[in-house]
Amino acid sequence: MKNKVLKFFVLIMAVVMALSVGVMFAACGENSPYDLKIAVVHKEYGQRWINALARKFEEETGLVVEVEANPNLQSEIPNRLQNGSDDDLFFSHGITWELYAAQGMLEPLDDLYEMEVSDGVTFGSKVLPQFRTAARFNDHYYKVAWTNGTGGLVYNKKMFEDYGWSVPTVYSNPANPTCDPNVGAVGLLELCEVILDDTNGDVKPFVWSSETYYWDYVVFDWWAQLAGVDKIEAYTQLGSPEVFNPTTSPEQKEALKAWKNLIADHPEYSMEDCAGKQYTAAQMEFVTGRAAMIPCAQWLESGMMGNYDESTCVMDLMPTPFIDGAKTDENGDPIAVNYSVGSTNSGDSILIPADAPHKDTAKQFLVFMFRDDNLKLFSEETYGVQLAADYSNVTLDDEATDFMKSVYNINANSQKFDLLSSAMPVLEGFLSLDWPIEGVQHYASLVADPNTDIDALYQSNYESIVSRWSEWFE
Amino acid sequence: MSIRLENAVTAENEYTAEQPNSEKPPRGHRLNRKKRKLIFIVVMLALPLIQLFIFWFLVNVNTIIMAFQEFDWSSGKYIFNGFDNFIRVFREIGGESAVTRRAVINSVLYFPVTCFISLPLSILFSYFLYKKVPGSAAFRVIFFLPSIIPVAVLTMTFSFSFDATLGFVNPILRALGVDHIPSWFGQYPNNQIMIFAYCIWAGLGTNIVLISGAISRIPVEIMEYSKLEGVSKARELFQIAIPLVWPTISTTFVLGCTSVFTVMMQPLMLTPGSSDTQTIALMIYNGVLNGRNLPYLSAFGLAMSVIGVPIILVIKWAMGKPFADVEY
Repeated sequence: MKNKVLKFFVLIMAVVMALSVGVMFAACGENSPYDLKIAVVHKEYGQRWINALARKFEEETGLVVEVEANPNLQSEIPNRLQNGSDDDLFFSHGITWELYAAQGMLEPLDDLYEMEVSDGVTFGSKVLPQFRTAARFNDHYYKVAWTNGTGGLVYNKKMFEDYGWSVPTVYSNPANPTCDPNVGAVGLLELCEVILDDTNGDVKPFVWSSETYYWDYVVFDWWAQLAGVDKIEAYTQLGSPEVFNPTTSPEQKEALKAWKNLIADHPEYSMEDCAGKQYTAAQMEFVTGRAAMIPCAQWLESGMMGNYDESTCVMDLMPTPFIDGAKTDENGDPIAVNYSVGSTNSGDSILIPADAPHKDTAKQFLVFMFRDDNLKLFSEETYGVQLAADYSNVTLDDEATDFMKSVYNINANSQKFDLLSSAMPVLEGFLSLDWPIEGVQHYASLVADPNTDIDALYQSNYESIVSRWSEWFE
Repeated sequence: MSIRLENAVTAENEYTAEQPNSEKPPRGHRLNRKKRKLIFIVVMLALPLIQLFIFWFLVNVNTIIMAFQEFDWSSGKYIFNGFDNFIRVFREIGGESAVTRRAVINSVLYFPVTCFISLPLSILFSYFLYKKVPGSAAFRVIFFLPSIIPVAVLTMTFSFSFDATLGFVNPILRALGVDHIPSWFGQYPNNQIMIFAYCIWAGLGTNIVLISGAISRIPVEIMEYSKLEGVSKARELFQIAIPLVWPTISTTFVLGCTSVFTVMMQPLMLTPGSSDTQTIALMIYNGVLNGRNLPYLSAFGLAMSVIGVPIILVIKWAMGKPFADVEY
């Protein structure tokens, strides 16, 4: 009996091991059952978009596309690149692609950027200029930027309409305390008072969460409004430590002070203890109508789809109100800017591994994806997210939601900017460009202690950067 | 284990030797039982050993080598750079990086929290459960529940409980007349203290299972004797139960020491995005996820191990001293 059990056990083990080995070799085989394997990080944007694009590509080309939507892809990509895999395309957030490009693990994409998307329009010209620049490393293109993120203040459009509130266009306009658009520009600061008055404090102007980086999407816009996108671009080049000098480049500091004035100095404008709130809790408070605005980005509507009632909340994204001192154009009008969410350090990326089995098909897919009809399809399937591409020939359908239209309009009418950089201190992890030196946001500490000396903070950071500059660049 | 196997093989050989004319049917090239067992053992052990070799030994060797390297961006190769990474590690801990310094301090604080708060509480609760105090069955479930709920759900439940508007804690405090309710997770050190509180709450279950299991193995006669002698409960706990289960407590204590280097999920889930509550493990995890300067992170991990391992070994040695091992 004992022997029979043992034999049975050994037999089962042998079968399992044989199957494992078989599967392993089958996976390594040259005759893969598909013509293109796409691995996509499965987070905010969902996977409807890649499924839709893959099916359409299959219909047009007759090729078979395999899609892997994986929430852990970001952490798996380094291993897959180093050890080899059957992946032809990666779509992921925050990969230090320069590291892998330098090691020859990524396919150079110079030929892709020369390919035609439509008559006379090259792939390279379809990619937005700032993302094209940021895709180069050692004189070659190695990546395609994935999304052109759009963030800012999302507001409850229904609530605004119900109460007759106007969307603020400037940070503050003390001359228009009632926020009447017929009197003058509506100020965000003044609107907060109006919201509290009109609702007896039942509705708070803002809700936000302990994931305070969502405020970056507003504060960075103020920073760029003050500095201009050219100065931000020069900042990312790290020409000298002077780009951090708070005397000659005070714009980020001033933007942070504006935030402090709005949020830290006015705790009554935010729901109680937002700095300690979970992100999901903040979202729930917003969609249930307990707050009028939330700092967020283009994925909020798709992320909350099915979890809120449109009789309570209709989302819309407002262009970031202009701050005093914003750069103006030749007509004296302030220049609208918008931070490309997700474009810090290395940013979102589309990559082709150097040893991908179907590199040409992968490039063919990217060309297909950057066609106008497919740019539109991507945005529709992600409820408003846009690829890092020129959308000037794309028109949204009437069925598009208000939120989608607002994202589209902000991108169309703003100068987009980012904080992408391939400078050595950034690549080496010594320096973070969003919040120098170490990427520490100051929002929660300013709420905890509104008396924090912001000037001293920036001066101290600058001195520290100056003292370490030569070491970083040696 | 090996002794038992050898004995088993020897016994079988004896059995075969005593029955030279056993009625086993002759088979062509059939291996004898000893060889077959050996093959079986080798096959069974091969997979875990190969796995250990590749995923533990090679990974650790690679980490150690990488700690002495830096990435050369022009050649795309890792090159030897001596102790530069270690110098940076100690400079940052020494104050050059506020985030690193805070992460190390936070991590070190997990040692007293785990070993001097959580563990004594676990011993106390285990003893009460052993003594079957009223409601002990219910308490057993309550204590053990956090151990079987996924950490993502548990952290969410915990933090939502303290949410200013959605949670139940603040309304209770207000009803009790507390006017000044702090921001539980919004500012340092409150958020760090809350993470410690969570660790204690969620960590009790596992410790209680281990320790109450050890206490329940104490011979009933000893406890009955102490009862007949009129020994108080406190004395029974401190002079009988604890010495008898000391090996289990000692092991739990040593495991608690390692929390200094391993705690990561709790701050990640409870205070996402906060740099105030970082730990050594979380810092390394975030760094690896971003793929920035892996050699520095390797050096950081190695430096912590070089400092931590001797300390833990000394603690392990010291924990073996108070009470002699007792077999029962």
